[in-house]
Amino acid sequence: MSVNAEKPGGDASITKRLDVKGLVCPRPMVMTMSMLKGMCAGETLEVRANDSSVKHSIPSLCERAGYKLLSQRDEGGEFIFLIQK
Amino acid sequence: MSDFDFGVAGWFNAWYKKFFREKWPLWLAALFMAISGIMAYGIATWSLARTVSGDNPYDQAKPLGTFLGLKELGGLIDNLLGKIGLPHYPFSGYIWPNGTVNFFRQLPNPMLEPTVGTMLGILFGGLIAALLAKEFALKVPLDKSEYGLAVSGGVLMGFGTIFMFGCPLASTTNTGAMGVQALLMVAGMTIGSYFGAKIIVWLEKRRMSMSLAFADGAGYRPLMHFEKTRTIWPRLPETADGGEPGSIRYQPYLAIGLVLVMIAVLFRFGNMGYPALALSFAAATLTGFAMQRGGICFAHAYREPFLSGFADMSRAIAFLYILLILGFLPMKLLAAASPDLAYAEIFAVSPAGIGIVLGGALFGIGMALNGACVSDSLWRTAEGQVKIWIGLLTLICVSSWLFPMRNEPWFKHYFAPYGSHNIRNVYLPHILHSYPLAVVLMIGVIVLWALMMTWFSGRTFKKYMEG
Repeated sequence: MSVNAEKPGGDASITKRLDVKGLVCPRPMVMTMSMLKGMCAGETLEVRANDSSVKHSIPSLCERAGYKLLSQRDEGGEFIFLIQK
Repeated sequence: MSDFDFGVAGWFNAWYKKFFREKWPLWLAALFMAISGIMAYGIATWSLARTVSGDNPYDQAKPLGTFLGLKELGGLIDNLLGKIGLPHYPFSGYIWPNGTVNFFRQLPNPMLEPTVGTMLGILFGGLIAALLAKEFALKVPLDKSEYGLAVSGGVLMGFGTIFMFGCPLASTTNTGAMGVQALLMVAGMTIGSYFGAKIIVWLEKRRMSMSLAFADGAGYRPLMHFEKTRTIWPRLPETADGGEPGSIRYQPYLAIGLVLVMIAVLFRFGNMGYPALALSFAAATLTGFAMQRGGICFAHAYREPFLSGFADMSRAIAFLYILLILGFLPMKLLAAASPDLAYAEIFAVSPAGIGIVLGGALFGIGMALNGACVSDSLWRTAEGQVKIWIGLLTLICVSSWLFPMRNEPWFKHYFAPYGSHNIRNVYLPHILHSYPLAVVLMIGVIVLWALMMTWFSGRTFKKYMEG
């Protein structure tokens, strides 16, 4: 699992990235919540996971916490979410 | 393409996507699980009637649960690896109509233990669902801490399952069966999951502080720089045109092939004199399928109200508990009216005591750390999560190794004394002398549990938002 601030030359719309591939529930959800908690309103987080539990949990988190789920896609079992706080 | 082709293909694709690709609502998955649980209870009652009437005595089915299956699979592992010290008792727990719990019928083959079939059925159902959804992938975490969590979770669950005489899936059957044990299991697993959630929060905070130590000056801050995953199969991207690789594209066809093979094998098994085992395998397959489609996870249901502040899974499990209470009732009343089927009235009711709460608590901590209980592990194993395999194997070996302890007099005396001599003493309709009262009490307790979990989830989430 890794997290990085956006590097120069990257996608400017993404403030931070969180790669939780290989981690199993509950850690992808816990790390996503923790990451979003430390971000400012308006910043965007890209989450990459391959545990199917996130298909339910991350959209539920966004709905409940009022975060904006900008996009959600499945790339061959890798689930990618773009969330705006 | 003609309009007709477009219409049929479009309808089929939309239907396929809705049913096999998208996640089901939790209530729908819980409903399917309840249907399969009620089917399993009915098949077990029918197999008892067949045994009483003199048919194949080895063709026994049991309601959904995995406890004895863990022991048998442990024995099989022992056979495969050579003697590694795991006991192997090819017995099938069976209680004759007089209500005692000491009658065991020896089986010629451990694979004839019905709960082995239940476990394999859940795994198979999960695999079919994962393949139809193109979600199967062998995922290997390279972070050693993941394996540490899996092994420690497996050990705790191994101890827990012995003390509480079951697993969370069995807790659904036991709740439907209206035994006192079920309520103690729910209480124990709730307490354990609370502490499990606290341990996870502590571990994550520790990981976070460690990650900051690895920060470099280029803006790249690896949280756990050594932690990566490796997907062994399928490999992505594979095709030059950017399309789906064959290893993903053909997964649904593999699923259809496996279902056809399963149907042929079950028919063959039925013709060989084991129709009850074949049918109970089919019921378990439906359970595994529904669990994978809905993402039903007992570990999630018990842990998340204390960890992330979500109780939707807890409410789905409560819905499942209630459906099983109502669904088992007609069969129980039917069995109560027939002396030969008296045992079917008390299927899945087990002796109770402080050991059930203790075991539930150990199991709750273990499943929180591992991320899955037994049935969760089975369908997630079928999704290719290698970490879950490690936890499941540990759980099988530990519970199999500890199993003989269940039969020690001191164990029964201290940990499960109630109902050891007459199981009806821990059967709520017998204690209350009323079926309607027992049903109302059981449903009332489950509703209260769901409300409590919802309250805890609100409290946890409020803390997160206000953090």
